[in-house]
Amino acid sequence: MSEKASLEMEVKDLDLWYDTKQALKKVNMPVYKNKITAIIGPSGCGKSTLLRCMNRMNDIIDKCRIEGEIRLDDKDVYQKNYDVVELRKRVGMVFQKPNPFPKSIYENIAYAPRIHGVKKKKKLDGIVQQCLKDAFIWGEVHDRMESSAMGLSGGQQQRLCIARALSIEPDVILMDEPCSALDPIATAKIEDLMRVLVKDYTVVIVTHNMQQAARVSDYTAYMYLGELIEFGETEQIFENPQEELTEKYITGRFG
Amino acid sequence: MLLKRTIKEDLIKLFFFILAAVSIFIVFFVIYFLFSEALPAFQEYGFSIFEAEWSVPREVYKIGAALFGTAIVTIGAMIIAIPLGLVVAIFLSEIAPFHVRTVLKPVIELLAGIPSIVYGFLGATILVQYLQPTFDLLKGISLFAGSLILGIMALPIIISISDDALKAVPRDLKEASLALGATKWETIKKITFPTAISGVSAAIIMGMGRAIGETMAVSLVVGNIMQIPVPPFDIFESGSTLTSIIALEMGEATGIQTYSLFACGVILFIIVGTMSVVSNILKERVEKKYKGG
Amino acid sequence: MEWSIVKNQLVSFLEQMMEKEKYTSKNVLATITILYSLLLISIGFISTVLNVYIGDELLRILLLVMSLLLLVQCIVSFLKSKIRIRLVSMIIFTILLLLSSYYLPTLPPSYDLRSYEMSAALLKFLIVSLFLIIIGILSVNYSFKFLYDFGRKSKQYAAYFILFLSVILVLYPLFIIVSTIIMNGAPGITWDFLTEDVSRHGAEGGIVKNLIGTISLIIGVAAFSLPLGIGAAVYLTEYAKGGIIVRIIRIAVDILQGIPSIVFGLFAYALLVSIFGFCLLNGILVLTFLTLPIIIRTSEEAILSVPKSIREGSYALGASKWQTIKRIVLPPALPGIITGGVLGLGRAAGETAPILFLGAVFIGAPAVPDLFAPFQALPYHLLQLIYYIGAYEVEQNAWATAFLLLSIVLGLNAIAIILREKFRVEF
Repeated sequence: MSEKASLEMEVKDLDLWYDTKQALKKVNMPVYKNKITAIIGPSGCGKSTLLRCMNRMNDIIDKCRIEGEIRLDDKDVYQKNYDVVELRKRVGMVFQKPNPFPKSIYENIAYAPRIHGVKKKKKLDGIVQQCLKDAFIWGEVHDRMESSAMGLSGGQQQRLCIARALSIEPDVILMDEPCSALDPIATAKIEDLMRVLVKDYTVVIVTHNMQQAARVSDYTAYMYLGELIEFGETEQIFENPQEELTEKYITGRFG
Repeated sequence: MLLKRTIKEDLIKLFFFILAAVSIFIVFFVIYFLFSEALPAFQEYGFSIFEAEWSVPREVYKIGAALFGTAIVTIGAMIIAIPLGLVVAIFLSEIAPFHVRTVLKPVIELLAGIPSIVYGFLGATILVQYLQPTFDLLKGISLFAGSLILGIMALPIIISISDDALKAVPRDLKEASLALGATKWETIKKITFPTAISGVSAAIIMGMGRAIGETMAVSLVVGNIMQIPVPPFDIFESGSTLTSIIALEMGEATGIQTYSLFACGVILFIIVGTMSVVSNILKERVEKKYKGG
Repeated sequence: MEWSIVKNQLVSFLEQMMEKEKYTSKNVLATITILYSLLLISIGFISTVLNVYIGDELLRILLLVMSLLLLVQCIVSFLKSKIRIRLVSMIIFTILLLLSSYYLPTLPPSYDLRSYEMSAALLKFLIVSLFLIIIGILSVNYSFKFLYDFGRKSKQYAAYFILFLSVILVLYPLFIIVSTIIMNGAPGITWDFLTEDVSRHGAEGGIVKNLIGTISLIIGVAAFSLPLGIGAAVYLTEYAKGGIIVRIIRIAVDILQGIPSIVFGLFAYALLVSIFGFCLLNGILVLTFLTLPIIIRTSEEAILSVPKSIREGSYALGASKWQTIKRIVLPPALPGIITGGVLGLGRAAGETAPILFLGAVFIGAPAVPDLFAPFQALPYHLLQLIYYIGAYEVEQNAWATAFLLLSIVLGLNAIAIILREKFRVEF
């Protein structure tokens, strides 16, 4: 818990406006390498918005204005001429509702490597297999790689999406409430997966489920109405919150 | 690398934009040519072009009779098509069991797909020959026949679009009504149908647009005589519509006659174009209502 | 196999209507009355279609029996029901019916409307037929009221009945159209018909050049309108940011969609004939203008039906916009796009009005389709044959041409629908 944690990404003084409404207010947050950071808070507090800033997915949204920095490798990803495509190769994302492409299982994983230039079939096969294994789903699908991904169950689809995110060999994996559409057993599988993945990757997860954050994460950030109220090691946040707002939120649930 | 990719993406976007903008160009050209060819007729006659005096020997080409014919024939067609169409749409969307609907809906779309010349052919042969003894007419060719044919042709459009509108009414509204003890029919009458009224209006407008703009079918059964029947409500007389007179005379028209025919085209364009835009606005309003709620 | 499903549906429908109770006298009476009313309606309908009059005697008997049945219903209702007020309209109806059974057959054979300055006459059989139909509908209405004690349920089933009749009424013309064309047209489709050229004002010979002409038109229109239309749709759905230009484009497409085909013909006449003369290219261009809005619309719908979430999945993997469109958005949208395309082409194939004065000819088109020469086409051929019907013996070939044209257009429509169902991607 007290080993020296190095900084992978850093959010610095981030403000975000949707049209005229400010959704993020001067957010400052570190993201430590090979650790799981959880972002918690009530609905509408901005946690998904913050997450989507980290791989600039908010660029797609109309009328979204951003001030501040998000640093990766000591470079601000929001500076002009920063290559968004390169960013997304290093920072991958898993979404709340599983969104596999309407293609075969193989094609779902091979899609990103192909786009980024991998042509040789043998290499693609290797990548696909490795990703599916890393996502704990190889055993279930290895004999039906050509069948449609839409035929998988919800939990399997989500693990497929995680495997797909791994296919670009990111440094950071962002997960936006990855278990909220899944049943408890599928959720447990994904939480186990997270603990294994963090050995090789940095994970940032948004969750509305406090117990999940407490179970799984090393660091926790509590957000409220667009502001980062408190950030710290998970144990400290849950047992000894410094801010009154944090305490209210946490005790409200544990009741 | 980044720059190259950005330039490529921008070029692709420009390419697609040009393709989309072609539509604007076409509309501009249509408006330009139509109006410029029709202008001499309006200059010659002014507003009196709407009087009913069309005579080749006397070289007067006023289009009032065609306007009248179009109006009569469309009204007649709507009298047939609106009640029937709405009723069938209600059946299709609310009452028909699933299997019946899967058969019936494509069948109705089939009706919509029949080319108008085929309608015209059947009209000129079967319908006209049927009407003549049935109503003791000299000949079956009449504005009445035109109304009948157009009514049949407008039906599938009204049915199809109304059906879509009714189907779009959210299930929870209907379930709420039923849960309060209303019968299915009462729910349809008081909840489902009124909620879908925008879409249904759009359907009716589009059906009217089809009736007004239809050429071949109506020109073969209506007689193409450029006069208002005496008395005007005698629908069993022959007449003309804006569309039929263009189809008939354009091939051999010259001079002022041509310009008057273009004037007919302009009027058609304005009426039907407006209807099309209005009905699409209505349809968009329906979508917004459901997406917002 | 489907017939037994339909049969089962009918049986359960009837059972449902009769509520599967044991057969009380009320049920039996109502059922008989309803069936009898159906009989009257059918007789009325058939006699309208066949122009026959059923005869005074038969009419009298039919109406008397109907009155009798209704009378019995009135009596039973009167005895059983507590709320007698509601019976009033049914009683009045029954009385009127009794009166009509005397009076109606005594009508003169026709009412000459020429005295009212209309040039038609109302013939007796028509009046009687319409009367029978209306009586039948009203009797069914009252029977349902009788069956369900004048409650709200009766209104529902009465309404359902009218809906059902309307569907039959709408299907009837379709049936006539398809059956007459098949019966009269199919025999005319001989090998000679399909391979010979027009001769003797169309009374003899065949339509091979017209067939080739129509096919050339279809190919030409596809070549122009598909890329244009799909490209425009891609822009409107994927790239457009909702600015003023996009609104204008959308309005332009709306307007284009509504323009009557003859107006396109006029426009093309003003523009194209002065440039290209009378030729096939004109036909292709004008039909392209006609088809474009349809293709844009249907392609837009198909592309929009692809959910946003998989687009986001692609962007999150670092794909560019064009890569996402090409690989993720378009493939699942393709069945819908193709369906729309085929439907649009089907419409173009059947159009007559736009090509009337642009270069379509009855006879004399070159053997090999030439973009800059006049052309023959099936719809135009049919039109000319219709004009010739009194003068020459073209009827056989006219029906055959209609059959061929209908087959092509409906065939394309059917292919489009089948393709759509077969390759539908479920999300």
